[in-house]
Amino acid sequence: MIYLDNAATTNPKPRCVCLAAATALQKYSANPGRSGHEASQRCAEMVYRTRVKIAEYFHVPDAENVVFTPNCTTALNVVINGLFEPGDHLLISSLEHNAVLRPVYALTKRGVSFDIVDISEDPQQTLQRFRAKINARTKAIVCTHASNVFGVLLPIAQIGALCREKGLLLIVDAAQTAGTVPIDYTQMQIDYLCIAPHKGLYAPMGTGILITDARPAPLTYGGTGSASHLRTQPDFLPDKFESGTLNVPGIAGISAGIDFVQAHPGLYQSEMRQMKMFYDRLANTPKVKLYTRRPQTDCSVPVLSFNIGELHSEEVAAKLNCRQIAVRAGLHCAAAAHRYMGTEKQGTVRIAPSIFTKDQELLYVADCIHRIAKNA
Amino acid sequence: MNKELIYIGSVTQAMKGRDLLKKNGIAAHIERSAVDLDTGGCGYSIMVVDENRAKAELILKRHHIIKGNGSKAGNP
Repeated sequence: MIYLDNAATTNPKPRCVCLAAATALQKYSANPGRSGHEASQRCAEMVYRTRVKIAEYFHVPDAENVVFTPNCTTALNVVINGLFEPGDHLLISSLEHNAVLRPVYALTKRGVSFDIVDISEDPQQTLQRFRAKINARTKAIVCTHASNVFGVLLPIAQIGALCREKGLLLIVDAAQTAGTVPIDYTQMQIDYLCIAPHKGLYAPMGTGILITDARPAPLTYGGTGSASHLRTQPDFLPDKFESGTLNVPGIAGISAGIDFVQAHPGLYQSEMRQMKMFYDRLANTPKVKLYTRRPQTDCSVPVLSFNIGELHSEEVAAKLNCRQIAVRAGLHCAAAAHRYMGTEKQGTVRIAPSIFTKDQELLYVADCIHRIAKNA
Repeated sequence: MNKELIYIGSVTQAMKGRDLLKKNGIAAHIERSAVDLDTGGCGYSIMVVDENRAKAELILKRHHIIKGNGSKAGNP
């Protein structure tokens, strides 16, 4: 199989990640932060070391700001549900995944309003559009770092500077970028960073990371192994947001995933080179529709959408699947992004490589698309 | 030299505190605290020798790991 659905989750996982997760089921099979016995302490130590590693990797000042969640969607829900009051106003981008759009939309029932800012492939224009929609009640910008459908990279550092200038919070959905594109939480002036480590960090599925302060109200309440005599949730990090037993094998996998990515510098540039090559092949194929400019380093991530004539994207994906090529079609849980790009009826076929994708595989896939287009 | 326990609560905070103390040349270990409703229920403590306690508390306060005198002495 040629797997090009890496924007959903990376496949295969590196051997070191598989080994770390499997080993954790034996070596760390205890509940961290709950007991004083050696196994629990050993497990807690591994979890803590992983927090430190994540903090260093994303330039977060303190390891206690690293919160483990079941996925990136939960991380976004913690922040979006926990920060805003009736009367507050938010800005989101036109390329949001439902992980942002749905919780923000749900807030409207609690008196919070929002506006959608149209994203341009010109970062300066994007920035101007955000600036133009800020009003006196605007409290935050909630936006993706990169579109999970079209690969457009948002100018987060500049948006962060705008937020500081205007006194707004910046909440970033880094599902498609963490591990692929360098993220400096401090320099980019991000307040809340939501991460899907099972994508660009090659960690196991069922893992998420939230970089946060203690301001949001908790989304879940329960046992934390601390301050147990109180009926109220602890107010300190990370316990405030980590009720219940942690996904220890997943956390061990995150640790190994970061090691793996750090051992392969230049991954982003390499995948971008592949995307440019693939884009050029498709651009010369009759009936193939592309929706963005040629992928460009610092303006795109290695995610590309296309269609063939009037064929539904799911039909194209099925034809590719018959050739043992795994891609994602449809709306990619991002109907708003498709509406913005005018692809909501047809959906798109999405291609996303990983470190394991070979040039000749992409050339073969381009050739298959060419043949499907010829017969369409 | 008696050993003293500085009550922390969260295991993450305790490990962060332990690492900070070690960086400052103070030997420190983590222990699970006995349930004590006066000091914050179940949680974790950092164990130091009594002669280092004042300096350790100062470092931990400076890094907001402990607030006031939320610690208890012990001689395990």
